[in-house]
Formats: sequence, structure tokens, C-alpha cells
Amino acid sequence: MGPARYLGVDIGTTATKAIAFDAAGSALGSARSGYQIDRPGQGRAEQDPRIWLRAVDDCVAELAVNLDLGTVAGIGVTGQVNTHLLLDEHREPLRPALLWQDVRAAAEAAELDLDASSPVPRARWLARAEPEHWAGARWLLLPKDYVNAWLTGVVGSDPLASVKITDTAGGYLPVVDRAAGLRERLPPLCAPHEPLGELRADWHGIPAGANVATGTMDAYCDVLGAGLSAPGTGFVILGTTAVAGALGTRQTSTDPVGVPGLVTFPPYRGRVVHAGPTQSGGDSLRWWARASGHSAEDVLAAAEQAEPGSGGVVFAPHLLGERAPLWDSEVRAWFTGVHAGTGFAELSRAVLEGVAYSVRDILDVVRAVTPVGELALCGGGTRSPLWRRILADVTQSRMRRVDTADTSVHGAGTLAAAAHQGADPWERAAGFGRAGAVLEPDPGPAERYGELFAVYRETYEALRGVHARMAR
Amino acid sequence: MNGLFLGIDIGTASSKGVLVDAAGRIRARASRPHETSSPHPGWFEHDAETVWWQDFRALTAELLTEAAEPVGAVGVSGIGPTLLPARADGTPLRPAILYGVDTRATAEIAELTEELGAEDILRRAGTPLSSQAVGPKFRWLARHEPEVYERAELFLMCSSFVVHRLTGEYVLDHHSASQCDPMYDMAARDWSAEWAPLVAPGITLPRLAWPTEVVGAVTAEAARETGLPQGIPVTAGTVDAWSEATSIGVREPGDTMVMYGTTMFLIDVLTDPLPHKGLWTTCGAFPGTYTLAAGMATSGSITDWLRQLSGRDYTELAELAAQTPAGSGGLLLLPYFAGERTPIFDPDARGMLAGLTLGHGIGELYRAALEGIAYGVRHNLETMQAAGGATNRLVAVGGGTTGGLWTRIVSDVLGAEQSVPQETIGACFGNAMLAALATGAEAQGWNPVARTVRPDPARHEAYQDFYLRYRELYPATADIAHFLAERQRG
Repeated sequence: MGPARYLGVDIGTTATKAIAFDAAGSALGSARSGYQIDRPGQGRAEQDPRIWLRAVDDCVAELAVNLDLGTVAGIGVTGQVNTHLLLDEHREPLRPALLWQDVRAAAEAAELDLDASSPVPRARWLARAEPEHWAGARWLLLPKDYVNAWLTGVVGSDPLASVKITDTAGGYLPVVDRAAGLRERLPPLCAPHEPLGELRADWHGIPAGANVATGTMDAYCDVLGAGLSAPGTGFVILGTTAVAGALGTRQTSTDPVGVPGLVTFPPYRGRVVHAGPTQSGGDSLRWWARASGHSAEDVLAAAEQAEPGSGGVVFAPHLLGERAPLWDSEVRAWFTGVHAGTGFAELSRAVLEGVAYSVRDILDVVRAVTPVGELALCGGGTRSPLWRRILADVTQSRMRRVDTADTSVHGAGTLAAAAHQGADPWERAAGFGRAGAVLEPDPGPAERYGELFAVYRETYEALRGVHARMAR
Repeated sequence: MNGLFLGIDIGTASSKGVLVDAAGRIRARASRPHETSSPHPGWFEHDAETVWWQDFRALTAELLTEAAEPVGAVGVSGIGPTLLPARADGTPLRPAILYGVDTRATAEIAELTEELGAEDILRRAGTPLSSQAVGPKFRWLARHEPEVYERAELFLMCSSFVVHRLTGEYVLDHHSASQCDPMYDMAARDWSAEWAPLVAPGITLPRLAWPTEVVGAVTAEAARETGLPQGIPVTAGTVDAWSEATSIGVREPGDTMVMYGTTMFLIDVLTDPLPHKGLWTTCGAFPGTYTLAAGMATSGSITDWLRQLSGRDYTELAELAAQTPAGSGGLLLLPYFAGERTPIFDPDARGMLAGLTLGHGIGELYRAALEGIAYGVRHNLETMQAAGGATNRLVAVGGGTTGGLWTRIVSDVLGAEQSVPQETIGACFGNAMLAALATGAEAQGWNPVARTVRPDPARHEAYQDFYLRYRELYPATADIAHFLAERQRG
């Protein structure tokens, strides 16, 4: 491994992570610094933006203990999106940031028919509820853009991270004008791999003048960090949620909303990412462990004892309602087919299979718009060999394991390298990805899983009315 | 009448006995586990000699060692309806074929239903043919074991076998007979002149008596074998659940037993037969009465399943469930883990949990199980009411009444009071009571109400919507359950 050349940083919801890479994309060292979410009221979730700066600084200081960072030439930062902070003209925060989970602007969102996490209803809420903050605000920014501004003194953002307010040409959509004063508070836009600016001062050994990329959102960096490059490759990210999707070459729909059931990102350097995020992926395992009074390890060990198909028991993981591809906030999770012979082993395996059915449900929609070959498999949930096997067999897809849980940080490093070298980010992605072992699907249980997947789909329809009436 | 009353009940997995004095106080108790054999999937049998008669003798011997007074009368009950073919002297020709758990006669059920007509069977015999029915098992025996059938002269059930051993009398009680579908005519209160010889040709059927009647006396030989005094009266006996209903004072029309056991079982006393295709109609234990009965396929078995799943004990589970609000935070459990008996008669129904969220833990799961079974009780009681039965006074009994949470949930779901009697040992106590009644004792005040469970109006209101959602689950998912059940059979 060579000397440290690039630094990737991810400003997450519960922690910031940083990794130093050599020129070839090998990780040399990593650091993590955690923090809390403040919940000052029902539906409110906040963080003080300064904790992110402190966390980034702590991480880089920790890396510098064992690594010489004097050779670092490029920095890339990614992070949570739909989290917004207000800065004054001196780039000082005026109030805590509103996290993506914060729904205080629900009434304004309903007026506008937008999500409560969109900056448009939030700008309306801020103007109404906190006019002094709104009046004093020069910028409305995302966390990674705030960190970048602190590093470089330059304020900017990118179109991919500015979810649903930018157009395919890289400008802001007219929707931003529905909140008075919002457009003038939004930062100028650059492409994620374009340099935003230079490091203002020496920083834990990184020399001033190092290149800082514009960067983009965490989910997009997951795709880059998983090493996806060729159109037709897919991915499954099994973290707290599960996200499945694929790289296409062009937008297949002129509809700005994209494909029904999926999130389609604006085209970026000849690629279009189609992705479907669920609400509960790895969370389903943690929930079942807690509800049944076991550890996650016990659940995984018990699941090994059950046959594929869990003895005819099917689970659906809609524990928080569902996003892709159902977009149904009223649906809830269920087990069906429970019988006298059903034990902890069958229920545990059914939970793992249920998450795989939700991934298959998304991939079926993705495959309708773009061909999907091999899938890159990443996220903490894929550390379980059993869950990897279930995912490959339920989706009957060839899978390539990505041997890092930190794909988003790898993606940020990819953009740092691309910005520094002026290279194509997709080409760099192929180098920065952590390609692991390939898993071929076993055709043996394909028919059984196919039948049970049909049960999964039919039961959703059958219970739709019951769940809807329960929610009201 | 002087002396003690001996009550013995022979169950599926164990037998129990009591000695009761004239004031209704239990002087001695005994119980004894035994084995059920399953020589073939779907077959369940008891050896009458080594299980039934040995249990009776062993329990009696144990109880007699504690008897301060002589025994004055004997009452017996057992699992039913069972089919035990025997020689003229009562010697069994094969192990007894058990009640509804034994599903060997599936083809014969369909055949007889076709032959006699489902409507006519329901009207005349009170109950559609199912694995519970004895008639199809007679036909199975004639077809598959003709050498046994040809030698069979007597038809015995569990209680009538013991009564025969004790007294030499060949007699069956009206209630047990009314469970021998389609061989008993409900309106005539007698063996069906047309269908009994058609279904069981060549078998001499026993004479009929009511469970409150003395049918004979302990013979010299039986006295030697059991230690009981020779010549003391023996009642007709009956099926266990009806003795249990007797033991808790469920005897007047409108009285309804809610038995919280391994399965929930309900008995509602009627003045006239009210056949309904979702329930069982039979004669009652008391002369001239009829009953509607309902039984779920699981109940206590689900709470036990959750106990094993979670590795927590019942006390802890009940505490967690008690801290959970009515409705379990929107979690619904459909308790059809073993299919369901009344009122849907669907062996391929399956269990379901719906409405699960991240906030649900074991307390919610356990409460949802208790609530799901309570919704099942309400479904059955509503079916009884739809059949025309009055359910004016509910009496709760069985292991599930301890602790009080489950009975409270059932009362809240029903919006109805339940009284819980002081003594809940079950059918053996009812047999002692029947022996007392048959020999002229009053048995007044034998089993007073220990507590009354009253519904909470606010919780009852909260349960109304959940009950409606519960009732939607099965119709919405029955086809899916049937598909999964078929796959589960492999």
C-alpha cells in the first residue's frame, strides 16, 4: 500500500466516519466519532451543526495518530441529506439543524404536497415560526456542504444531494420559489466530482491547498463505493433499511418523478441510478431479536436450523410502514402461515426471508426499466453468510460481496480522487470498490421461494384494507 | 345418603379423581399421567385395559387410603366420543379410537355426508360430520379391520367402559350418545331407528340413561379389583366437558361455560336443539336439556408456544402484557395455529400476526395472543346467539383463569361478566356432584362463585374496532392460508 492520498468522510445521522486511502483506493485507516439526535418535541429531530465539525476534526486527528497525512491531495465529504441548517453571513449556525426525520413542517408540506423533509416547506415553517432566524439566514445548507464550507471557505452544493429541487441540467427547479426567499439562500451547484475549493489551512498534517471535492449524498456514495461502474450492475445495501437498485444508462422516463415505485436520480456522467429504499431491513432482525427476547446472533443461529421457506411461514418487514416499492405508510409487518410446528427457528428465518422478498419486490420494478445483471451486496446485514445466501436465492441473482461496511466513505474517497485527478468518477469507482467473493444463486429453492414471494405479494393486497382501517 | 362421593375423570393425557363429602368439600385428590399412542399419522388411541381401567383402579386405590368415611356412590367421565369395539363380556377387541384428534375416517366422513345429506344430518343429528363423529369410524372399522368388526358385539366409550367394568351394565348416557353422529336422533332423544343400524350394522347399541341417573351397582368382582364397597350405586357417566360444566353449576338454559384450557371450549345450555353448521348440538347432562358446544383448536397451546419462544415464564409474560394497552398497540393475532374447529371448521386455516411495528415486543405479542383468543370466544358466542342460544350467564373455568388477566381481557372484549367458581379441578368434581344428585343429595352450594370479572366499558369500546378488524383477517387471507397449509404438508 502506498502513502495516504485521499480522505473520505461521511457525516451520518448517528456518527461521522473518515477513511484515508492510498492512490489505488486501498483503505489505510479509519476513524469514527458518534453523537446523539436531540428530540425536543413530538416529530422533532435536531442536531447542533457544530458537533459535525467536532466529529470530523476528531476523526482526522485520530487518523493522524498512525498515519502521515502530509501526502493527502484530495478530500471528499458525503453525508445525510434532507437535513438542513441555517448559516448567517459569517457561516455561523443560527439554530440547530432540522434532521431528515423531523416532521414539524408537516402542515406546510401538506399545503405544498411535498415531504416534510423538503427544504421548501421547511423554509415556510422557519419564516413563519422563527422569522428572526429566517431573516438573518444567508444560507440553507446540507451537512456535507457545511463541512466543505468550513474546510474551504467556499459555499456550494451538488444537484444529486439536493433531492427533488434540482433539474437534470443542474439548476434549481421552480418549486423552490414556492417558499419566499429560499432560492437566494440556496448554494450554487457544481457536479459531485468537481473541485469545490482548497483546504484553507494545514489540518492534522494535511497541507493547505489540498483539493476538496463538491461531494454528494450518502446513498449515491454507497453506489460509487460499492464499485458500481458498468450499466446493468445492481446493488443491495442491507443496513438499518434495505436499498436495492441498479445503474442504467439513460433516463427511461421523461416524467421528473421517474419510475413509479422507485427513486430515480438525475443523470450523472452517463449513468442513471434507480434505487428503491425500504423502511426496515437490518432493523427487522434487531426488532425480532428484541421482541422474542434473544440476541441477533441467536436469531441468525436459529434461522440456520430452519429449511428454505421457513416451513411455509412468510414475514413482511413493513414495521414502519413501507417506502419502495409500495409507498404505503399505513401497511404494517405481518407473519402468515403460522402453525403448531412453527418454532423460533422458522420465525427467525422467515424474518430474513421477508427482507429478501422486499428486495426482490424492488428489483422486479428495477428490472422493468433497466437490465440488471450481477448485484453488489453491501451493508452490515450482509455480514451474515445465511442472509447473503437467502438474498441470492430469493432474488435468483448472482451477487458480489463488497467487503466493507463503509461504502459511503469509499464513495466519498472516490469523488476526492476523481476531483483531484480530473477523472471520470465511474472509472475511479471501479478502482475504489472493495470487490469480494461472488455468490451464485442456488436454483434448488427457486420454485419454493417463487411461490412464497407470490404469497408475500398477495398477502399485502389481502391485508391492505385491514391495515388501512387500523391506521385510521 | 351417607358416605363420600367418588368422582373419576379419564382425560387425554392424564386422569384425575376426587373424594367429596356431602357438603361438597373435596377430601382427597389424585391424578395420574398416561400415554396416548399414535400408531400412524392421524391415528390416536388408548388401550382401554392399561390406560382407562388401570387409571381408575390406581386413582381409586390412592384416594381410598385417605378416605375417613366409606364411599357411597361413584361417578365417571372420560374423553369422548371414542369407539371401543368389545366382546359381549366387555373385553376390548382393539385399542379405543379417540375423538376428533383421530382423523382416520376422512373418506368415510365424506361418503356418509354424501349418502345421508349434510342438511338432514345437521337437522336430525345436530352436528355436521367431522373427525369428532363416531359413525364414520364404525364404517372405517368395518372396511379396514373386518375381522375386528365381525366379532364386535358391544360399543363402548371411555366412561361406559368403566361403568360396564364396575356394574356389568351395558349403558350409555344420552349426552355421549348424542355425540355419536349421525346415529342419535336429537328430537326423539333415542338412537336413530334408521341411521344407527345403517352406520353400525350388527352392533347391539347400549340402553340410554341420563348422567344424573344411577345405572347399576358395584359388583363383587369389581369390588375385589378396586377396593370399593360392593353394591354401591354407579351413575351413567358422561363426556368430560359436560361433567366440568356440571361442576361449575352450568345447568340452566342460558348458562354458558367458558373453559380456558389447552383449547377454549364453550357449552351453552338450551331447552331445545338448535342445530347450526358452525357448532355442535348435543344433549345436555341434565334430563331433557340440550347444549350448543363450541371449541377452538388452540388457546392455551398458543400461550405455551409464546412461553417457549420467549423463554419467559407466565408470570413475567402476564406482567408485561398487563402493562400493554387494550389492542396491543394495533397488533392482531389470528389464533388458527392448528386450523380451527368452530365456527369455521377449517383444518387448513393458519395463524397470523398483523399490524406489527418496531414498537411491538413480547408484552404486545403475549397480549395479542390473549386478545386473539378472546376475539375467537366472541366469534363463537355470537355464533351461538345467531343459532338462537341465550348466553345470559358466563362461568369461566380452567387453568387460564388463574392470574386474572386473560379472563379480564375476555370480559372486556365481550362486554360481559364472567363468574369464576371456587373449585376448578374440573370434570372429576362434576362426577362426584352427579353421583350426589343421582343418589338424592341436593349438592346445593357445592361450588360457590369465588369472584366476578366485570368488563371495563372504556376497554370494551376500544376492543370493538379491533374485533371487527380481527373478523376481517380470516376471510381476507383464507386462500393464502390454504395454499400454505398444502405446502406445509409437503
